[in-house]
Amino acid sequence: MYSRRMVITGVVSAVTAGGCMVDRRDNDPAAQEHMGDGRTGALTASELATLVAITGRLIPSDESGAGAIEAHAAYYIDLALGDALAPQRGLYSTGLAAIDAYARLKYGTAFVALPPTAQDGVLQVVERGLPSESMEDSAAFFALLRDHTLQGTFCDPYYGGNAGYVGWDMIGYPGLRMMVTHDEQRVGAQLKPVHASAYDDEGYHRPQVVGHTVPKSHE
Amino acid sequence: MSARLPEVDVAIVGFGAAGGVAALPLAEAGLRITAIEAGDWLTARDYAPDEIRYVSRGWPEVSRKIRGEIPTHRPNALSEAAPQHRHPMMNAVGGTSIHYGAMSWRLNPWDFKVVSETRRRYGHSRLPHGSTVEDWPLDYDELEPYYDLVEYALGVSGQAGRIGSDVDSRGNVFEGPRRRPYPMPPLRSTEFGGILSSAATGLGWHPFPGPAAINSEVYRGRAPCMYHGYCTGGGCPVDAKGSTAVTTIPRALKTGNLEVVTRAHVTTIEVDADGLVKGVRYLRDGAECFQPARVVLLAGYTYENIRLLLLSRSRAFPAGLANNHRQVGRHYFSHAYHAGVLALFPWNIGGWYGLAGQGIGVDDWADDNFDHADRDFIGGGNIWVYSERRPIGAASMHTFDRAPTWGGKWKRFVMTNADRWVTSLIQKTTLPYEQNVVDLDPVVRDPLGRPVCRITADFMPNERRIASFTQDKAEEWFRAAGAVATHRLPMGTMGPTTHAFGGTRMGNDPETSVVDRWGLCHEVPNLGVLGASVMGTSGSKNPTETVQALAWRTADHVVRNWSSLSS
Repeated sequence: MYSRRMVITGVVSAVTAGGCMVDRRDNDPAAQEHMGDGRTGALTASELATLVAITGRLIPSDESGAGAIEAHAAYYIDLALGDALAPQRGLYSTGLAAIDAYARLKYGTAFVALPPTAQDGVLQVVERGLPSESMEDSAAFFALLRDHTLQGTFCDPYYGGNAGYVGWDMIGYPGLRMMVTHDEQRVGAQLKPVHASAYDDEGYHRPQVVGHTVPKSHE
Repeated sequence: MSARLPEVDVAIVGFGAAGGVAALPLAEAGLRITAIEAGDWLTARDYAPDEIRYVSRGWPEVSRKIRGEIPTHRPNALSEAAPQHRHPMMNAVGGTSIHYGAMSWRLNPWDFKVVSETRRRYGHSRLPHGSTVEDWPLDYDELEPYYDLVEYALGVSGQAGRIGSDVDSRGNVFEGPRRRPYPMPPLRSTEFGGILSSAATGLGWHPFPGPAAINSEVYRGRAPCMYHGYCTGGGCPVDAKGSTAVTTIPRALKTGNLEVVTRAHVTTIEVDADGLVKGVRYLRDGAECFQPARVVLLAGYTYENIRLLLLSRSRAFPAGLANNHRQVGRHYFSHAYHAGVLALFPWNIGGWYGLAGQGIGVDDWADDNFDHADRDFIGGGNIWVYSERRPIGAASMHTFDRAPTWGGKWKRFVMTNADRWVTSLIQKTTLPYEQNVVDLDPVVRDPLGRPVCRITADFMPNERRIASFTQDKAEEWFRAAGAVATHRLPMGTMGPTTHAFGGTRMGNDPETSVVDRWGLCHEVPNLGVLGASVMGTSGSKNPTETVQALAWRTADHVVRNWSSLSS
């Protein structure tokens, strides 16, 4: 049985890829920061494991660099399902179970244990549409998964994703700049990445998420 | 048993872009105003550059009331209305003027006289079949002074194209004449904007920078724009955006004649035995209150304007307030701004950061600015190109049939092209039609148990032909600027939107309109309506500045005619 910590930091995928069993959280300050206080998300450990593996196929880690797993996209989704995305919690349960069931049906083993190409094959079927006995409108769930994976990879790290700014660095977003000059908007401009969250600035009210409570505003 | 408050002169229902403007002339004239707003005050501390909060989640904390009131939609009366996913507004003092893109336009003179001008130039048979379009009961020249007042009160930056009889080709040569320049020069343009302008000029078109209610320099003590990239959909952390919350409302408060009641949910507008409004009923902190007023101005945005009238029934108005002629909810339409065009360039365009207000526009194919003799439609579209790129939006880019939508190949495509694409916003002439209406949904209710609006509307052939024509033009423009691929976005259907018009149309004839040429209800002379619900045509421009000019004009009329209105 995988612990949530092992799942999120990609230990599980390291195992399935045949890599050595390195517990990355010891080397991953972002993981420590976000998980050190024992916050738990909405999904079960095995749902989360499946979700981590799915995000790892949507935005893979490869020669071009880090992907959704390093960005902790699944962690973002897991937290959000307990909060802003709570209305979709049930859909995730159904969808993740259907994906795993289809993997077992087609390949005889859990989705998380499949090699990447087989995982891609399963996801392609989910994207086109599983038979309705498996799941009603899996294509819509796939689109949602993709959307949420994008959010979790490229969001402000305040929300638990884009860990270590791997998402922003991946696409060349130079980060938050409160004042932007004409030169910084030039064609082909190369800007030094700024690795900061909007909420590093103590001046903003913090949205209620990731265990934070919104300060009471004006009366 | 509800708390009865002391009577005021004017109660304004909804304190956003329209109500927030009307309060200023009313308060400066010495009238006692209560503005009743469902939301709360926000400040710059609420406006962190946060794409998840604004764009992905639509301001969850400040959108609670409207989330329970999302209109349902069906394209026509033969289908079932479906619940929709997001309400386009926010509830707050300043309303949507806090987080809109702040494009601040005047309509073209043609938009006020579509019927008579089309007949004159092309013949009567050219008016689209099934349209209920009428000439507005006022023309551009009558509204011009109010456009000017709004531009100087909010602080609109822009380049004039016509001042009096002088034409300045740095601006929009097709615009209606204005009395004086904008209060501020336009926002900084970008190098990419320069490339687009050259390409348009090369095609023989007339590109220009657009006007925005955003400071390009210090204006009345507020900072200039910082171009940080979280403008559209977000609030401005330096107050450079001219929301009514930081412009007209503070000035109205300074007169001492304005009271703002927040977190107040208006349920009905009440009438007396003579069929005149006597005040507004609202809920606040669980208690019911009644605010008596001699005049009520309804400014809750198009859907709530319609809904509150329909829900305010009485013996004098059994089908809804001001609805004895059954015009409330009629002549509804929303702007056809879908069906844009995306373009892919072979180099990074420098599109991170920035804002819609830095865009470049072309009006050559808008309104009646070109000869329609050989066309099968009337009207046209403004083509607007800008970049305001944020990371999640960039990663969600269209792949132009060059990569799948996930996986390794997708990742490499996005890594290369995240800053190489751009969109065009094409706002098109949209007209009212007999079959496009808003009424109360027979099934879906809000949390108070009251029906939400049901939109029965779709785009008609005239709009679809404009869409196809303007997409051709946008593609031509992008190719001339060096694009290697383009993609045409679909038209979709006429669901809930930020640019919704009609439902309480302004007109001279009570048989075909709800409010008169001043914005006061034909059937209820002390009830006015502010907002795009009074507009009879859309024009090819964002509606807000026109809404605000009309609101100021209505308020002025109320002031000038106070003794007869209040007796």
